[in-house]
Amino acid sequence: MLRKEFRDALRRLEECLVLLGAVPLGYIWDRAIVHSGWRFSEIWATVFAATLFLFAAYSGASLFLSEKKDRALEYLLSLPVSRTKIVLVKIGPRLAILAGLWGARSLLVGRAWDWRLLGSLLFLFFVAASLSIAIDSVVIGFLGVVLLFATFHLSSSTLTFIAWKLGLVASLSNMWIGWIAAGVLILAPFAAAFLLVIRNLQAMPLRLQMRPYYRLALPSFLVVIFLILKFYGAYLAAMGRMN
Amino acid sequence: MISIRDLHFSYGKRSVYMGFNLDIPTGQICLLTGINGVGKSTLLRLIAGVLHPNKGTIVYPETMRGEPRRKIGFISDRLSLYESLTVDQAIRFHCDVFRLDRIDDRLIRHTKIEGGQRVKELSIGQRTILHLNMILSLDPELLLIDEVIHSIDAYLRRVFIEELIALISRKRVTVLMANLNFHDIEALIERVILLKSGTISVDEPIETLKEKVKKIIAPAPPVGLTILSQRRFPDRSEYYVYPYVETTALRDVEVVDLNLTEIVAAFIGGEYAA
Repeated sequence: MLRKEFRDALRRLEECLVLLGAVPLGYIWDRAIVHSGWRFSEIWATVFAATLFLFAAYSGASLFLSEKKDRALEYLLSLPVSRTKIVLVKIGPRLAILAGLWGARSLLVGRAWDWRLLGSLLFLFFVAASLSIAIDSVVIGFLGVVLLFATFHLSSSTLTFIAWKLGLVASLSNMWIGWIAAGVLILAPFAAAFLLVIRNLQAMPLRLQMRPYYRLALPSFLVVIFLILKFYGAYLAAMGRMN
Repeated sequence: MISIRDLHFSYGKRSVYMGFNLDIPTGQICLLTGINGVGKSTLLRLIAGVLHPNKGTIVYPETMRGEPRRKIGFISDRLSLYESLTVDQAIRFHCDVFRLDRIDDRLIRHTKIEGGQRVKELSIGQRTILHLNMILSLDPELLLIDEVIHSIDAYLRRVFIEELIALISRKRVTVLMANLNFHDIEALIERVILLKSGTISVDEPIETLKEKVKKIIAPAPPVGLTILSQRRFPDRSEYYVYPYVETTALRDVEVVDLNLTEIVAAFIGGEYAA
């Protein structure tokens, strides 16, 4: 089972690595046309990071791709394997490859371990994984992940602003509380909905099993959107005054 | 004994079972039948554990407690397998999950299935045989077979049934088959369960059922007997009755014994007519 999931994860990686083709192309483009003086290593580091983000989102969003595409969900559920083990076996190889890529980037690019990048990748992966069962289309799932990631960034600023207003942080540039709060506020309800669906997953149309998403994830997402709409303008104004 | 008690199940708002009860003794070979959409496949899926009851219990025999799915062989009508895997990869996956070193793939080789072929490239018959081969490797105590037999060619059907007979003669395996075509499997079946609107409308040993359901060829409906369904021809009428009881009123009519296919068709025909 683990072997199959590793194979699936490597196939997703193979698809994402196509993006690395942009490195020589970008270099040639810069040398021949733009002449901006980008160094090869800069292009490499940027494209590699983009590949990591793509893999994190894609491998998470395609967690149940083979079951959906191969119509194998019923077979999987008929096996004497607990739901927890199914999830762990699916997540494990993808996370291992993601961590390996992150480590490889740190070594190849010659920078210290970039924990912030790792945090973002993990957030992206888990958000994508949380949507993997709820959304059939990988493309729509991918767009959902992008939307949630954008929401994460907007809400982290918004929540930092709220924390600053409440006196919990001294400066608006201290974003840690905002990041953690936004991460929890967005990821936790989706992850909880995902786990609830998986726990009761049955061989019936998935649309009939998505209640936790409607009851848990969607309302909390709307709360986050409300906070952004209410406070983000004030955050920008405060930032403008500071600058 | 598999014991189903007060089973409730629904697909969203559509209820399929509301307080369903059934006992299946160990080693019995049962046929589950009824009109399309009555819940035969749903019941098999509930017993296989791929669907969960909203309410009620399914109790498995003592020997299957703990993780019943380890001892259940389930071939669904969807023939659900990882289609993008090759046959060899699918078998390896199966062996990994069930902690088997290897499986006896005699049946697969016999039916000319190549290890390098992708599952999606196999015909329905070959896929059924692959599934059956993998399931037989588990030495199951309960076999749940959905309506797949009639969708495979005559030779593979024979192979399938021969393997089934070999398994049944080797050990006391309980078999529950959902089917609408019976001429191949009639000799195996011990009990017939006819479902209707989420309940059991007929539950009889096959021999009793054959005694109780008869076709009566007569110019007019037989008096005092319950007619399941009827067919009219220019020169005669046929009445399918259940339960059949010999009476003096039937002196001048022809009473015909029925095979299982005809019996079930009579019941189902009656349901559609109603």
